[in-house]
Amino acid sequence: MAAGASFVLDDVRVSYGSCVALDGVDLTIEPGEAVALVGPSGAGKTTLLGLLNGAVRPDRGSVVVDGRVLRDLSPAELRRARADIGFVHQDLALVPNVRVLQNVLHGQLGRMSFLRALRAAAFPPRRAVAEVYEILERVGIAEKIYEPTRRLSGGQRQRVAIARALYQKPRALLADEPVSSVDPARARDAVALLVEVSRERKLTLCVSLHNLELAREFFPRLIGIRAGRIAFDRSSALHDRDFHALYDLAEEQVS
Amino acid sequence: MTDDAIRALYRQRPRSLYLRVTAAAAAAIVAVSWWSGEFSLDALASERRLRNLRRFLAELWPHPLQGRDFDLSVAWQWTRQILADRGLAAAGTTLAISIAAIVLAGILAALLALPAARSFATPEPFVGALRPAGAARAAWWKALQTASRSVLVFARAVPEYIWAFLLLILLGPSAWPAVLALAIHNAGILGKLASEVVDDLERAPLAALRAAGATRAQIAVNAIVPATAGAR
Amino acid sequence: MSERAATIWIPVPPTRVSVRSLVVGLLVAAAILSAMYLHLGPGTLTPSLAGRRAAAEFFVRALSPAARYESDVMPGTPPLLVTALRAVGVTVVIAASAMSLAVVIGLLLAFVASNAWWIGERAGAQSLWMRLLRRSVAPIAYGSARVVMALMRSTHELLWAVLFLAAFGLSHTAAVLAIAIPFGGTLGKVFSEMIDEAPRDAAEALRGAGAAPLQVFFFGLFPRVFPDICAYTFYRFECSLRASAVLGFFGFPTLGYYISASFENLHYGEVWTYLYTLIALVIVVDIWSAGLRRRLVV
Repeated sequence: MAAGASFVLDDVRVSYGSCVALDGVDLTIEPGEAVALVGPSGAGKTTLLGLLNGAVRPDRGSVVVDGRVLRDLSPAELRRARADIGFVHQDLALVPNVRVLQNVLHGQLGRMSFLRALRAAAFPPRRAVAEVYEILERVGIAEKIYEPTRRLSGGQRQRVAIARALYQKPRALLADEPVSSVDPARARDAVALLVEVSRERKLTLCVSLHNLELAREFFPRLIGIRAGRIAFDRSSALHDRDFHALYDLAEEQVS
Repeated sequence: MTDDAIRALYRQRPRSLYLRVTAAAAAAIVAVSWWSGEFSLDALASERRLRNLRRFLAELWPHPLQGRDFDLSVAWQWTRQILADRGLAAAGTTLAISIAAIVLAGILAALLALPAARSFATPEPFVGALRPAGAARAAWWKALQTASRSVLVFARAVPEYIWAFLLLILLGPSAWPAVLALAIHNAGILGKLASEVVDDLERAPLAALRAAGATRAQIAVNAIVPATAGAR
Repeated sequence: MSERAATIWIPVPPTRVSVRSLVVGLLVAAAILSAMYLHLGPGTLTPSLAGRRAAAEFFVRALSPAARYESDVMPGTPPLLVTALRAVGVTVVIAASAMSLAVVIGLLLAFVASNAWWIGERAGAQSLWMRLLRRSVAPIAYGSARVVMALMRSTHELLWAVLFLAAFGLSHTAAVLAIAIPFGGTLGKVFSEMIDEAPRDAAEALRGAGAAPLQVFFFGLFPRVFPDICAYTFYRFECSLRASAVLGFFGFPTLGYYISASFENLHYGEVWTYLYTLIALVIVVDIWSAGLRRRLVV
């Protein structure tokens, strides 16, 4: 099976109108790595994740996924590349009035024609349902497979979003602030789940977090972003002094 | 084994009987309608029909211009004559009647929308009560709500033509029958839509006001009216 | 010790006239002007004695609607209640056929006339040809769809009925088309607005998962608007029932035909029978749609 995807950002700049979200960003993520993006809100974490996913186009510089420059891909090739990258959004972005099964099945839309997708939505094939059930078992909500998604709690819905990303059978998993909408206990579980699953399936993982402790606990590599630039990029085996410096950095930005 | 678990969950999945019955009934009604209606195609394409249609469309063209090339001066003359004769006065009357009618309809609808709204016309609107309201009070509110909704239904179900005719008998020839007929009919429509908007409002701000001790009138003026005025 | 109250100066915000109060004020002013133009006054509002008597004759029969015809009818005519039920049947049939057609037309037009479909791929290289196509065809399709919908719905169903009466006579086809066209235009406009206003988070997520634009729309955006579409369609169905009944005044075999015939013959009891059937029909649909709206909460 193919190993995780690799990402290279080369002197990337992204701006929305007059507001510069990212500037001069150089980043390389190796296949199978687990990386945490830390930084305060507004620093550019979501934009950076969007670049990795192919959702955001840089004004300058290039985004290279698995050796292919995203900018040069045709729309169809880009779609196929994006189908290989699973993304868990901050607001989960699920369809609330359909069942959990349907939401997870959406993960494979990128690999099906429209008519096949229609038929699969109306009459889900048994094999697909079994696969979805296994994934839901892995994230811990197998018994909710036929529940309408809007009836689930926030933490459960987050796991549905993770399941949808996993059902894409991706080579990389990106998660945008998976902890901001759940309570602290669940937050830790969510991050642990992401890290375990990525390790099992040999996926490249990139998660954006506020919480330095969590980042340090679970991720071997931390990338700090401040005001659209990478402030530091080092392993989490930090000296306490460096760690306090990191904290001050974060505090100063948050205040 | 997983298959069994899946099948068990499938059988126990939450379903809404109401929605299923609605969908089935709607499909059945539509199917029966298309099957039983008299949509014979030969009646559509019959020679006589097409001739009628052609003649109808031909006569839509202004009379002085028929059967000759288009002449702008003739067309303008015809237009001016029609407008001067009756057109402008008729347009003015139409506009005046409809404006008066819709403003009146709006006022009537606004008055009836709140008593007709399910969320408003209850013993304890928006918030639960410490002590459930007595049966008499609940019945009185239910009666008020049903009465308001019945008035709205009656107002819009009876065709405007009938209202106009009745009012003509009652009031004699003036502009009032037309204005009132349109006002009553449209008040029924607008009132129903407004009551649905009130029902759909976010509960939280209204519940907060009620919990702070506001009376229904105060909630209406301070929260409901501003919210509905901005609604679609 | 005497206390002097301190004077506090509170800044008063400048009075701004909001657009809304301006519009309301204009409307009320226009209404008053219209009333003056039409010579509407309390004088003309008082009913004459004869008028009161005639109206009373009508309203008194509300309590005793006829169960049988009020004059001799041709032999072989079915009893009054059977006629009423048959008229209800025709009314419902015409309305249901018209609404099903209108929904199809409305959905197609709404799809073309909404923004959601034309917001295409922003990332990724596109050939110049594709980009030209998108820049030129899309606005044209969007614009023409909106114009077509406006034309369709600005003509009242009774006027469409006059047109189709000439072409198709007093057939179901004429009635169905007369209702389906303006209703299709209205549905198209309302549906397109609903699609434009629906939250797009799920659709964006599906795009991120590599779904094609059609899939993004159908699986990510459409489920979000589906409950609203159902609720509005049901409301429109009630309107189509009333429109179908009113078409009877033109001669179509719906409730309106019998109402107007009995009315002109001064058989007020029969009129009330038919009116009650119509009201019952509207009430049934009203209750049904209220139950539906309660259960379709997103």
